[in-house]
Amino acid sequence: MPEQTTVEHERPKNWYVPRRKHETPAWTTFTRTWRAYLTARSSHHRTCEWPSHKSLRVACSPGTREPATRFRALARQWKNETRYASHFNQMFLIPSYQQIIGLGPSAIPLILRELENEPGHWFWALAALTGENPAGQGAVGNVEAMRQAWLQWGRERGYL
Amino acid sequence: MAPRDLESAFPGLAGTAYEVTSPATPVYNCVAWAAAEDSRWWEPDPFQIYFWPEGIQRNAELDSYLAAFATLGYEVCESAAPEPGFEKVAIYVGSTGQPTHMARQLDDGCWTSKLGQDVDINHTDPADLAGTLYGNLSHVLRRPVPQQT
Repeated sequence: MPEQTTVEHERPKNWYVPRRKHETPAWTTFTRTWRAYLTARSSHHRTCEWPSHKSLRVACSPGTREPATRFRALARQWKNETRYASHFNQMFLIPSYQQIIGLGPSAIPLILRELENEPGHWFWALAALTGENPAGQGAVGNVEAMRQAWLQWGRERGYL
Repeated sequence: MAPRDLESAFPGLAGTAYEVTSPATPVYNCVAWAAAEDSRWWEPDPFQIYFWPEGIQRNAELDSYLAAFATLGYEVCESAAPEPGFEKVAIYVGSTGQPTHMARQLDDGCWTSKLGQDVDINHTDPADLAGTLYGNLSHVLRRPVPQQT
């Protein structure tokens, strides 16, 4: 018998497959991924119910793709979800906050403007997005001092 | 805040003599309030954004909270009942065993809690806040009442 060989076709550099109508839109897949993540943490979430599974739809639904619009929706959702939360794993390690960080550098001016409007716990997101902590050791835990330090940082870099 | 909102989040408060004692603020949290502070947010976060006692491990585990309050002179005790000469704090944990909330006992035996970024309340029993959001009361700590000089 002749020896069978497998030919590997090399993909061109700009190779991609256009999405066909019957395929699942990317945002739905993303939502499912988060649901799977939440299910994996189910013992905690069943009891504590910090993030709402339904709420993920708001952040990922078509029509909320524009960063500012998505940020506003996610920020509103995050505030509602964490009103009574005090600990970082309940405040920041939840989908709405992580999705804000996931907006990338475009979220920085949006967060700073939100922080300018009212005090809030955006420091974790800003630290994650920028790798900086302009507040320094002297302001550790002091929400107003950290807020002013970040606003100053934003002004110096032209974000505000 | 409307009482109905609070009672919806904490059904154990319904029918009890709780009262709201402050406006909502993001400036301090329940851990700071349990440590009798209202100017800093206490949090064992790995970014070191928030205050946590020097030398205490920064993670979300119960041991980190017990060690933090040990620096203030607190040690684990058996009961949440008032004891003359002692002040007490309570730690709540969720199903993962990680702390979710802290409360502090007042002189009259009632408890005070800062509810996240929301209001402070006085409540009669630590169990009033147990439930879906804060899980269950896990540990009660006590220390001798500091002497007034």
